[in-house]
Amino acid sequence: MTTFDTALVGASSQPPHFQQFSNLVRYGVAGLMAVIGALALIFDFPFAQLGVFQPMMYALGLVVVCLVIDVPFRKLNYQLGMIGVYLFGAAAAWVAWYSGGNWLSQDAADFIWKVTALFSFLFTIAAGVWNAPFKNFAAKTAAIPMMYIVLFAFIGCSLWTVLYSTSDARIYPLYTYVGLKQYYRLFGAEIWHIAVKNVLIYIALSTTGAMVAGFLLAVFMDQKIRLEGLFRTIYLYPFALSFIVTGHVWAWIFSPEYGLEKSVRQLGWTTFSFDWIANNDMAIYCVIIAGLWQGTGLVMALMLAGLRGIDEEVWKAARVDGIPKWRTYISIVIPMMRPVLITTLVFVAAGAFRVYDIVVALTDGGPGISTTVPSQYVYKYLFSGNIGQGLAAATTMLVVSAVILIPWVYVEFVKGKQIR
Amino acid sequence: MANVQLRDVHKSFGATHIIKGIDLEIAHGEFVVFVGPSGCGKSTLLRMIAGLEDITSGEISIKDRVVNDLPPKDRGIAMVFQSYALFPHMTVRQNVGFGLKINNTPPAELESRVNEAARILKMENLLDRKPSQLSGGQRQRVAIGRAIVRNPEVFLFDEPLSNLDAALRVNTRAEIAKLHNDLGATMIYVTHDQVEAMTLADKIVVLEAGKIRQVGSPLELYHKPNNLFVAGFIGSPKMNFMEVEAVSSSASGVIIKSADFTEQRIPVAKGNVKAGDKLTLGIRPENMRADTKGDLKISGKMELVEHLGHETFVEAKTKSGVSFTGLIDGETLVKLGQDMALSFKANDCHLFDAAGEAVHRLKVPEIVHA
Amino acid sequence: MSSPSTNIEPTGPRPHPWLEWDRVVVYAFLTLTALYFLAPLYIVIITSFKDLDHIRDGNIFWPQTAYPDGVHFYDPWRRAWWEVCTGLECHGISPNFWNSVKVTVPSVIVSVAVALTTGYALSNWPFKMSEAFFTVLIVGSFVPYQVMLYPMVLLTKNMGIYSTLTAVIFVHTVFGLPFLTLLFRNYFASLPVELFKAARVDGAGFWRILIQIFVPMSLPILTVAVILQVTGIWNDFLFGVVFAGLPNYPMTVKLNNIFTSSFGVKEYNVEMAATILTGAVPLLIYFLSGRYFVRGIAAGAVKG
Repeated sequence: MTTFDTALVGASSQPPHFQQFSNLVRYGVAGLMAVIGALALIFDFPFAQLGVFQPMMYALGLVVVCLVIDVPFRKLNYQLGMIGVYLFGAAAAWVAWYSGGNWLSQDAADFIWKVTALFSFLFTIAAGVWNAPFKNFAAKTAAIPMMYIVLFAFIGCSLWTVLYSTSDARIYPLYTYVGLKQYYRLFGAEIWHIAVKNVLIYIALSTTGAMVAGFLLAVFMDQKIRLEGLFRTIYLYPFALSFIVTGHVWAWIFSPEYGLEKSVRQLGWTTFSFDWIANNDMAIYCVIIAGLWQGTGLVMALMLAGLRGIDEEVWKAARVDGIPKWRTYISIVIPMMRPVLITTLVFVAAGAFRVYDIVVALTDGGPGISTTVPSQYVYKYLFSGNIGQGLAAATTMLVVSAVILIPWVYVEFVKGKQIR
Repeated sequence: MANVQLRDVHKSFGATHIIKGIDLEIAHGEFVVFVGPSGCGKSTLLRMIAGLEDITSGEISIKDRVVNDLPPKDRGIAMVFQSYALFPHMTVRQNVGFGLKINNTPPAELESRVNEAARILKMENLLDRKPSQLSGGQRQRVAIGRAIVRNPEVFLFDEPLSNLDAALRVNTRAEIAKLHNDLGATMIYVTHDQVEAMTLADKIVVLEAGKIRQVGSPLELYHKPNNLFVAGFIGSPKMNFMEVEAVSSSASGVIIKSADFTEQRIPVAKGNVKAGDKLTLGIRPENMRADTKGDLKISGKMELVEHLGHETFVEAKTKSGVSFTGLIDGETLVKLGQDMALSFKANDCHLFDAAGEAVHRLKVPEIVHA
Repeated sequence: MSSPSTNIEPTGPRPHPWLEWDRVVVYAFLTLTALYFLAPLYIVIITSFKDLDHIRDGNIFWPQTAYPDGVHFYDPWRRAWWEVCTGLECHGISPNFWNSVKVTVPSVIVSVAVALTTGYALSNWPFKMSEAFFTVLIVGSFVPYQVMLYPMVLLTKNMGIYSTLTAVIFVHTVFGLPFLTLLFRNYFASLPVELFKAARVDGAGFWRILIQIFVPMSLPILTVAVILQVTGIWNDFLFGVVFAGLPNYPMTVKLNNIFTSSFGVKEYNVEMAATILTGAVPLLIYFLSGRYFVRGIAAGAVKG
């Protein structure tokens, strides 16, 4: 009986201290390889402009993925997973070393490490699949794309951006440390000041505007009206459109030569003036009007869902107590809807913070530079030969959103221990 | 032989210790019921046997084979859930046959086994319906069918009757008992309802806060509870407990007294009871009688009277403020507020020491095999 | 004493005199705001059917009713679809329509499939650190895309897919993952956990439970996810312009280029026709699937 069990349970029947020791050694070696590979790649990679960070990220990612899928606890997959990491670390170091001495052509080195990376990835997956009977490896294997995306796209890319914002990279992403020079330049640039001012105005007005108008619409929609579906469809359809479409539609209406101004004058009100779009000080409000047209319906829909979530008994109780309707909304309903309000606010504000497409379509930052927003600033510098500067602006955006988001995420997700 | 053994089984969720060392032997063909208040860990324990929860430490074996690391499907078990857990998009036939299909059973055999299960449960006419077209009782029957069809060594039931109404519950209970009789398989059944436990079980396992308090046959638990918890948990209405003091103890019993009783000898094993010990006297309401012919008398003012016809349930309070209940014959007319004396036999009394452990009775009613 | 026939007193609930007034205000408010929301669509549609002379002299509120000889009301649409130029290339917006289709279809399939699997793994098969990964994913979804844009360019270049449709599909899968995963994870968490356990006792594994039990049960949420992704990807501009490469530009990018292209006479009517064409697919989906669309956004999250 016992021998049979041992075979089934596998590695867990080994003496624990032995297992721990061998894990330590193996992890140590694998980790060292990965670090050597990464360092070599950072400092010696001859084709660094193609993306120094990526091989490094592959190595780190593999180590973490192996750790997470419990590699050390099951024999077969443990070996396979480790082989993957060894292979990668060794090959990355090797390629970097020799090609640094111009030993290999760029294409050959590129090819070699890509093949190795692919194999190490396959080994990791195989490690998961073949051990499926032991633990939930299918689930972990299925989560590997998500892990890679989190590690490379979200964490890796953000870290890379932060790192390279301290470089003077221009057309090529080459790393030369220049400290905070890019930031001094950024905060000294007039266009950045305008962009920050614009985005602040945009966030403040479009958020409050959408929240107030959206809530008001939702309250009116909640009066047991006929044709509710029709009204909702009308309020919400702009949300289905691209910001590019919205921008151009409103640009046409705002156009002084052809749009609203000309048409109202034609109708007889000859002194009517509406040329905000051509006015440096007012153009940003055109963006806000267009943004509100697109976004209010969404807030309305979310608010309406929130209103419908309130127990009918609350209304009955308020009526029995003789509380007027408006009073019930302000003193009872709004406090009860606090979670919905906060969530909506965060979504609307986060959307406003990264406003981009609609400005591109409506004003393209004009007239002059008067409606530039930070996202546009980043984009402009990234793709016009001043990468370091663009990354410094992007990092600033990252820091600001992190400062605002982290308390919210903490309250919403960590404290509540529940992701909605 | 599909026996089940648990050896020092523990379970923790993070820092919370749910199961605190369970040792249990379940023989082949036994019907074992886990019973206990909610939160005692009985469902967790069942899920651990099923393989749906990891075991933190200890060993579970089924059929003399350690199954700690085996997935549920390889443990030779089938499970019936409280909410039936029928797949809403499949017909009854597909629901019942799902497990067989997964294990690549040939279609002809699958068909015949599903039909056989349907025949056993008398649900042939339901096979092509969707779960949404079935009543609660029918759904539960399909859930049982899904278990039967896999021909398991061990059946696991997780509060299967909780979602049924009272009448259906009695019927389904009888069906489960019959099923056990017909199939002769080992069954483990979790419930918080002691009536289900008493009626179904060969062996009841009483759990409290992750520990076994007593294991035994229904009548054993009723007549020989090992401790206050089991004494209070098994039996309805609940056993009366009264504070008493030991006057003296000898081989023939312990003499007790209290504010409400005169001194009386209770026939229990002397154990380590000494004069002056604080004890708890337990007496079941159904052992109370409406006259003064018993050995011990207790009188009080009636605070609740329920005439049920064949019997009468009363709740009263003595002058010293002790509440007690009695289930007396239905002929005696009792009025609310009336002062009245009830009595009971010394032989029917249970005694518990200060730690709540039973002082064993010398005379336990013989269990007569009819 | 009074029988029903002789009773002339009013019965039933007393009518509230303020009620009618109240209703008038409600409907007036709703109608006016509805007109405000509809006005831009109306203006753009009638503009797209005008000729340039009428645009120059006429009023944006009134449609053109009569056309000179040889001019058809559909001319701007024909030009927008087949002929309008950006730079030297004059094939209209139709090739980009097909590009958008080629981007949208695989992106939706891949991103929904990956998110479905991930959400299912996270809700039913949690593993060490799975919550940590998920938290990063959610936080990541709020970070402006610009932060990750350039490294993503390098990443796709290194993968050898930059400036191809594959890159756009990849990027949409990456950035669609957080929201869709949240959607599926919450949906699966709301299903009775006993269904999952029963399937496991029956011997079904990870993939079989997903495909045979969960997918058939999650058709509503799948519909929501597909609708959101189709409109979201179709409407995307930034990833299209950065990752697709000139020959693969989706419709939104092309539309913007039509507006900014400065060769020759500006054909406002053609531009408006192209605008409507670009918005037509998401609008159509929206009108056909209104209920699911609303449910999707009310399900808790919105894409920036």
